[in-house]
Amino acid sequence: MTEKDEELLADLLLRSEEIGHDTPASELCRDRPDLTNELARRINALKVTSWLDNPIEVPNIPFEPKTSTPYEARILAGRYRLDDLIAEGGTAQVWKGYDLELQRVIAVKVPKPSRLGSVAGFIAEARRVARLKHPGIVPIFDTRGCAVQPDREGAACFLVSEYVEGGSLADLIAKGPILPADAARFMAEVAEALHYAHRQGFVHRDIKPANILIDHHGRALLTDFGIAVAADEAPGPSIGTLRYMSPEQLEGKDVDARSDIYSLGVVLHELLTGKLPYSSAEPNVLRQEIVTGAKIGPVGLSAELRHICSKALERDPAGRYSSSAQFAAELRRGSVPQSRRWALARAIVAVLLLVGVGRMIWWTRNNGHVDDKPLIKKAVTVEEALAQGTKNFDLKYYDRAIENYTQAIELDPNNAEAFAKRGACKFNSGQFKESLADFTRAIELDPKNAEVCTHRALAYASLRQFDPAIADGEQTLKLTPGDPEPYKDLLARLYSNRAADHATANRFTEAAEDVTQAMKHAPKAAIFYHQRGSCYFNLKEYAKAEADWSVAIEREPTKGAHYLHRGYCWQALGQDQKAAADFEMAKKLGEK
Amino acid sequence: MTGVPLVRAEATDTQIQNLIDLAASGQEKARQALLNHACERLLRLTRKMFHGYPNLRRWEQTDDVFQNSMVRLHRALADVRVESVRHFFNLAAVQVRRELLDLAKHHFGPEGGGKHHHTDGQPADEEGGAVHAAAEEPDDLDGWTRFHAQVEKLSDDEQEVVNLLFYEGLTQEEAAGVLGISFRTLKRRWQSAKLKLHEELNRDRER
Repeated sequence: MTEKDEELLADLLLRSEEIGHDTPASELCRDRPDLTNELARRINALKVTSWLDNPIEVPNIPFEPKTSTPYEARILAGRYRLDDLIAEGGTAQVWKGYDLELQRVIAVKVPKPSRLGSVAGFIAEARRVARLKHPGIVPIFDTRGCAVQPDREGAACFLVSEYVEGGSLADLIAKGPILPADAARFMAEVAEALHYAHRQGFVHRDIKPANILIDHHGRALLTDFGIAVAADEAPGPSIGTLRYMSPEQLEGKDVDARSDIYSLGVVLHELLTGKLPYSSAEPNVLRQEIVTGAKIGPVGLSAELRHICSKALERDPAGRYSSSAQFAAELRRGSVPQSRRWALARAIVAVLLLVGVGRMIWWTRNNGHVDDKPLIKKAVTVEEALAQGTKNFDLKYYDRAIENYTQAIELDPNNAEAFAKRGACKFNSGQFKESLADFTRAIELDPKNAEVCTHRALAYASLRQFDPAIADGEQTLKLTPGDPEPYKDLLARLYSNRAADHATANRFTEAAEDVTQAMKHAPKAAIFYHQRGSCYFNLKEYAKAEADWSVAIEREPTKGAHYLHRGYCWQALGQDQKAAADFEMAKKLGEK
Repeated sequence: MTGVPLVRAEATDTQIQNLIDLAASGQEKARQALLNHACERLLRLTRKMFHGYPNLRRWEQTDDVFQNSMVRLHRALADVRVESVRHFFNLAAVQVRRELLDLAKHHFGPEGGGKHHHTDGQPADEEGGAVHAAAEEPDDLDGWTRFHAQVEKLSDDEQEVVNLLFYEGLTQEEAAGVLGISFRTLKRRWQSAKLKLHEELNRDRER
């Protein structure tokens, strides 16, 4: 074949390609029939090798779990390498991957093309979700649509987010039982993050243990807002994991934040009891159970946790918590009663110490004269015995003073002063019970003596018998209309201490009433507002508690604990920003 | 008929041209993007090559050969100074082909278990591959090995066109631009390359 013929054949081949290879060679070779056979052979050869012109079609196999071998690993958008398939659900796969550009480990979510509405929709939604910035929400880094057809690439679009080292709550559940305190904390953290999302107009719709990640610090993070839609949008098809879905979601009704709260309740139930509230393996039966709300009865839980669980799982959304912040606040309270009550107890201890100090000051203030030698000589008269007793008392020789007063009583069995002072000596040497009889006898002999009355009140208080102590304190006030300040102060502390006892016994209403009485007598003290705030908080009267702590802060603006507690209130009231501000302030002031 | 589109999810044609221009002017980021492109092509071709062997992992328990292959490709291309886009693409295509041949050899050579290990339950034919007309798209490692080897034997001009169109996935227009030749010349070289491959693969078959 000549070079010229080769040229001609090449031209004819190009022409054949332009008009389509179906044109017979004979037609193209009308002028050179001798080349027909060769042209036909070449046309056929190009047909056989036409696969070289096709895009490289790679079967959609990496998204079938059984073929997810390292050989199907690949790079999306020239940047994100898919390494390990870490989770696969009905709608998407989640890969552990690597960002080649920023050189960090990432998580890549790839929706299954068959379950994907539209790429544009997915990306628009991902962008909305990416606006969520909260420490309890896994951040989204990137989202892309692939410029190639889904059937060629397998991935039509994808979502890149932070890779959380640790695992999901589902993994944790699989490992074994979770302590109730941990369960409550996890769920409170998730609920707080969710509350934030709700306030941004999102409903998650797919709350389940697999979507709650626990990082290495044990913090719970909410992920996969993949099917979350803005609440104000028309409800799409409800997709979620059946066992965690709310009745209204199953019924295809409009869902709002309370649907997510129901799902939180299901997870909490599972964490606390190891079982789902409804667990039929048959989807139809399960659906029926959830929709009819047939049974809810977590057993073996504390009353508080049982209440929280049941309330979240109310069939009627109106019966549930109205916000996930409320759910979180109750969980935090219900799961950490010890520490919260301990905080209250600490406040009480502080008040008690003040009572003790007050006692000492009082006595020395009332007894001014000083001598450094104890009197040991036997008194002849009552007056002599009383004088020796006073001197020994001032020198804190209480046992000798007791002898002096006993001698005085022997000389004059109706001497009120002798009984009162012997009682004081016993009291100051720690014999509270013994002092009571002397004070009582002194009061019988001299019922108008306010000081003795006060001393008996202190004796009762020291024995933690606050009812008679308060009665004596009130009596003292009646007896001293002129200058009642020190007595008012004592009475306030007595009420405060009785309140503490009530609180320790979970009688928060009575406790709050007593603190209110304490405030009446010592209206300037900040500590009682702090104390009553605790009572109201325990009574779930968060608004009242917040008001009290606000007063406490006004009076003691540098005390971190006040801010911390008010922060809890704001949290319970769903005022996240205010809560955050208070926590920040508490932290600044050194309160954790 | 259109050529193989340049498979790069994030880049439009204009962006590719920009990338090429930038790379030619020594921009590191652009070079990285071209490198990533080469990696993606390698991944794509690897998957295609191993398509007939979904249970390949059965033989490959110890080492992620593919990852190694990619690392090697990165290494080979990382230090290359991009003198011209043509230079880079050619080099990349050669590296990709070399890695593909290595992979195939690893699994199909004397040490490879794949040859006697038909995974789909169908009996293997005597040659170890499925019965298949020559020069049609290979559907086994043996076929792919022969194909890549034949590409190596093409003339420089033809090989370059195959490199750009098949291994690098450029469009015919892009390839003509990169090579600085007319569209028509490119088409003719491409046809010529395909005819030669057809011929040689048939000859292989007859042997």
